[in-house]
Amino acid sequence: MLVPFFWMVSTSLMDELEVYRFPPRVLPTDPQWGNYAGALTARPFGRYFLNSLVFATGVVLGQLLTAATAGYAFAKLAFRGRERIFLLVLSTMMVPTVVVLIPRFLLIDRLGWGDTYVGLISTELVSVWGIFLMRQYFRSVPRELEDAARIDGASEWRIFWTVSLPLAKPALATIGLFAFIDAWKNLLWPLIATRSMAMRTVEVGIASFHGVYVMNWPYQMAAAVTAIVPIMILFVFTQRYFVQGIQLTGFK
Amino acid sequence: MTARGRRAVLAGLVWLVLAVAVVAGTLVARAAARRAAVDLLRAETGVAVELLRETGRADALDHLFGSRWALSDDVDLSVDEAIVRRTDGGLTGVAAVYDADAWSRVGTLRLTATPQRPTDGTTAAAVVAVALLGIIAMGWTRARSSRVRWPVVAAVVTAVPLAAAGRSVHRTLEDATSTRLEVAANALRSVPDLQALIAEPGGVYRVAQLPFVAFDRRGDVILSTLSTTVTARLGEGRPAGGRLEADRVTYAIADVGPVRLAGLPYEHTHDPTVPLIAIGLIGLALAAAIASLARLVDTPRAFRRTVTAWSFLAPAFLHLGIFSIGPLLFAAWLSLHRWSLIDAARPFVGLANYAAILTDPSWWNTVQNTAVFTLHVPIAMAVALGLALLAHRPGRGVVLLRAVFFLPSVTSLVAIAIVWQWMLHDEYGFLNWVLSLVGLGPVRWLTSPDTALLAIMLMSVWLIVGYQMVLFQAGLAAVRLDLYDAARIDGAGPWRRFVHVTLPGLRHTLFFVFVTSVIGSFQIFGAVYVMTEGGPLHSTDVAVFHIYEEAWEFFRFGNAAAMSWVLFAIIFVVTWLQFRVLERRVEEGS
Repeated sequence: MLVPFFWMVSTSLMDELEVYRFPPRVLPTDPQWGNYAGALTARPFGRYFLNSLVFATGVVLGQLLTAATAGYAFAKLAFRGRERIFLLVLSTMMVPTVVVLIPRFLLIDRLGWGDTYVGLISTELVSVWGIFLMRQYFRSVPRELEDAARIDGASEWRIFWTVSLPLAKPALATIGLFAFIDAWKNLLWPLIATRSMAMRTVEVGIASFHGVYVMNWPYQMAAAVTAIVPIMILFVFTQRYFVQGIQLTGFK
Repeated sequence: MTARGRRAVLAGLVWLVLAVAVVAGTLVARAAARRAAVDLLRAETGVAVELLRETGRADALDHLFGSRWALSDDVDLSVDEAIVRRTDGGLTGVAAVYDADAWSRVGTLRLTATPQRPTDGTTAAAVVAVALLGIIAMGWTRARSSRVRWPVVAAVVTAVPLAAAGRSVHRTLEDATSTRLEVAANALRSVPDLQALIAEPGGVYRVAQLPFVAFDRRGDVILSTLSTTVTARLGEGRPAGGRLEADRVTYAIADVGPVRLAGLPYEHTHDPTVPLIAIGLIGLALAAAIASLARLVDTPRAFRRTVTAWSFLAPAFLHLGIFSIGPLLFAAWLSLHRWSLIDAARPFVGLANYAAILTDPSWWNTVQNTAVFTLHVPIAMAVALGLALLAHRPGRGVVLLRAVFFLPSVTSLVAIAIVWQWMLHDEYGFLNWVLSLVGLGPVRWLTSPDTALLAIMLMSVWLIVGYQMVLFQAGLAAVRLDLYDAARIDGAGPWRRFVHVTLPGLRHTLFFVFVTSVIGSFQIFGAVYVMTEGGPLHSTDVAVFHIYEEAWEFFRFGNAAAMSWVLFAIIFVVTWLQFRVLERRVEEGS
């Protein structure tokens, strides 16, 4: 399971010619740490990381807001056609992203948001999965606290902000993390929504790096390590929330 | 507020929404008409400058433009080619005039136009009509919420003015086209020198600034600046694929005899029909949504609750409407057009795109590849289930194991794909090395059409297995332990316990994992984009990658939109089938 990761790190430290050897070396004879400096300065990777970070952060904030409010409404508020509307929302999960890709591109282009953060982020602010998860979570929270607030005459929005939302921190953390990772991993949309080198995200950046340095495997592996390590560190510290989130989805 | 007051407020809101829709639609129509007028004036100014440059004859300009044109010897450095400026009361086309060597500027040509505002009357009439009908209908809704009458009234009230606005824009567009043809024909007729321009390639286009076909008396084509198919269609007097009829004007040109000019109204792109329909529908939908609250009016608490609920739903629904539902419908509209980024003519082609796709073997190849690729889902599920069974007792080792297996699905997919591409390298890759150790291989994983898809499936299993494992572990934790004990007492072995207790207990999880993974696998893109780009020999050309190429390599957006809708339909049917077949079994089991 870990072999590809190991292989990646090992190759990234090899000499450019050392990799072309059969049977291959498992470990580099003389670790070439310079590969990292070489690969990372060949393209503006710092800028790529910044772009990915801005993109992912914006998406996280947006998805948290929409998922929390809509999930709360579907779980706690009574209104006509609630279940039917919820099913309708869920069914949009079946729509493949590629269908809305061209119209979304034309839309942000028309709005003058092509190749900007706003254009990149604006289309990704709702996650139906997040709404689903928040609904599940809010449903599992007992009503007593809210009812107490309701008797005190608090408005629904006030209850939401002061009572329910603080209780939902674990679910919010899970959704936030998944939104972050999904945005970070997103290749197709940033590929289309950005044009200039300065707006590329890490995924688009290393994909094009890959296309240019086809033969230089150590450089490519160094770039791959750089792309993977930050996310891996994030994962190690937040693993619990991932597992929790996935398990929440499983239970209907 | 009394129930009556609330109802009045609701009715008022409904009509306000409709009025806003009508006004918005009229504004859109007006903007389209204005753009058409601007385009026309720009073309005319271009013609005027061209005439002046080629002939130097002011009388030709008088003939064409009467007193609308003026030449001054001031030099406006901000203007070169013809542009249009808004002046009070109308539009002015401005262009720089050069000397005979086309080197230095000698003056500025101005051409004025007072475009009519064909839609202003309509706007006023529509607003008045909406207001009047609104007042009448308010009386109705107050008397009794009529379920049949008022939607009809609302639809009529919205549709009639919008249709009128659309119609008047169409007239403007048609007028603009005939005016241009007239300008072209006049230019050809009144300036004999210009006939020489006909012979020059592109000369006619320069004169008219409008693609057109000239036919002689017998209907033979003298000249055409249009594609052969469109030329043929215009020759047969058929509309050339657009919604507007092609206009034609007949003029006699000395030497040649009567010439018929037929042109394409290329203001097509300004045609506001679709936005108008969209605005009308959105207005009606909003109005209907508000009106549906009418039933709640008599119960203030339910009413308040509904309003609160929708205030919570608003952010998500606004976004879904603008960035998901709207684009979905727009993609359907695109799929009915020959729509390209680089060609301004975007004619309606009906279902031709779909017909082309369904008979295109390369599309079916991608569908087949996608379907084959999806086979990795059950394989991954089997592996994941096995792993979950091995490690579903809590403990430090299990947590670590889970983290290790889960890792691939959270890291950068592109980086992972690059690493795998290296591991699958024909000569120096890790996999072929391992195979060689046991005396097999080498396999040309990604360079042979027989194995490339298999190699990507292999990687995908590795990618997805940890995610599925975590889901299965969660499912296993929910299986009732007493059932195992009962089975053990009944003397069931491990296999029988698995078949009769574990699998039925996991059925909901299995169903969920299967359905979502299949939907996901139909949308594979990244791995193919990075590792094979659909090759070798299209053996890994999957649906989303194919659509991506169609749109962003070949710019055939209409085709790509049609393909994406076909893919959507396939996913829909497959998911529906799974629910029909599998879910019933899941339910029967319980």
